[in-house]
Amino acid sequence: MAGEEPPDRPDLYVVARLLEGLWRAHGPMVKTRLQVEANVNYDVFSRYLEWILSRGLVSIENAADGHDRITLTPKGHEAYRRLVQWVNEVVHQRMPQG
Amino acid sequence: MTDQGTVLSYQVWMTRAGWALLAALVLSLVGSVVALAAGLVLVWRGSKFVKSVGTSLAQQLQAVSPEPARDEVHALLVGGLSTTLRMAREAYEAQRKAYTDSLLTTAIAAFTAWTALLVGLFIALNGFNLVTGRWEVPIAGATVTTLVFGILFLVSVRRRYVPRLARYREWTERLADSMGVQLARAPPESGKANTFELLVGASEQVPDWLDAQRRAGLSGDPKIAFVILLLTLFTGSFLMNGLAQLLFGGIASAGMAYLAIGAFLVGLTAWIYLRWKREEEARLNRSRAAWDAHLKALHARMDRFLEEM
Repeated sequence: MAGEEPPDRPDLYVVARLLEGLWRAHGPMVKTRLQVEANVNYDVFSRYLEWILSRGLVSIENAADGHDRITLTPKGHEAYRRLVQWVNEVVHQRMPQG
Repeated sequence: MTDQGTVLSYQVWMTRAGWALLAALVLSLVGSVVALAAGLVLVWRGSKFVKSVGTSLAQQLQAVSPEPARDEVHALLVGGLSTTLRMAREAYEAQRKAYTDSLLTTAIAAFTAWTALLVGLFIALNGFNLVTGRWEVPIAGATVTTLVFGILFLVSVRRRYVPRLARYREWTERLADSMGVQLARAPPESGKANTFELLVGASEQVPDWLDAQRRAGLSGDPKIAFVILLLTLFTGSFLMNGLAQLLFGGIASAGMAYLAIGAFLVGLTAWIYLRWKREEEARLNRSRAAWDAHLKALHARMDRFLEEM
């Protein structure tokens, strides 16, 4: 992942896919599984992972088996909750607040 | 389905519409005894069925739906999916009903046109000679003309409704699938849009779904449609009676009175329909404008969210 440029203006849907994948996993997730769930290629995945890591939305754990595992941080959980809450407010015919 | 869980609601006795129909049967007098008895038997059997099935279903639901762990995100996703699914279903149902009504109207119009053509052609070719006049050419002419125009009209109705119905059905299926995945807390299938993306996409479709209800016209509002149908029947009856009195040597003043009542009913029906249409348009335009504003605010809020990050 080193050397990958984070996107200047990230696509919200890709960010949301990564956060939703991790939220759904309820725990650490191997990188490749998250990439498959986000349905993006490796380059895009690496750039977005860098972006969400730099914003403190996820953290990486180095496991003994050599596979890096990604976990949603409380900040990441809160970010995903806010995104879902805004859409939910709109579908319930309210202005998105907060 | 709500964000609080599954809600099962049912009524074990007649609805207000049921009572109104029963009252109409009593008041109509002609042939009402048999229909009234049959109606009451059906109500009793329906009530028995709903009582037994509803109770056992409620027990089953309680057994298979233990109180889930509190998760606000999950509740929000399920709530959003359930609302959009209901809207997509309503749009689909409104258009499906409008499509069926259009087919029925086409069939009635085709039959009326065929009869008018048959009589017109017969009179044009044979005069009023019903005994020795030849029917072959009028029958063939009326049938072929009605078939050609009927088929052309059916094709245009189909082209108007079928793509739209397919679109609404596709959204309904996508939302129902996602709802199933959320309720089962299963991982989504690879390559499919995630729930958040699906909800944003669905919220962008809502103006189109509202429009589907507007385009469905009276088919989407059975109460007003019923009132207008009744008024049309009364209007037709008064006008026919009035004409019959005037043309076939009846009482002229009675004929005029019938025609006057018929004309009043035409005006009343038109007024009810136009008022309903105006109110419906205004309501849906307000709804649409509110949705557009909400969507704009959502996108602005999400853009700001990314910038703040």
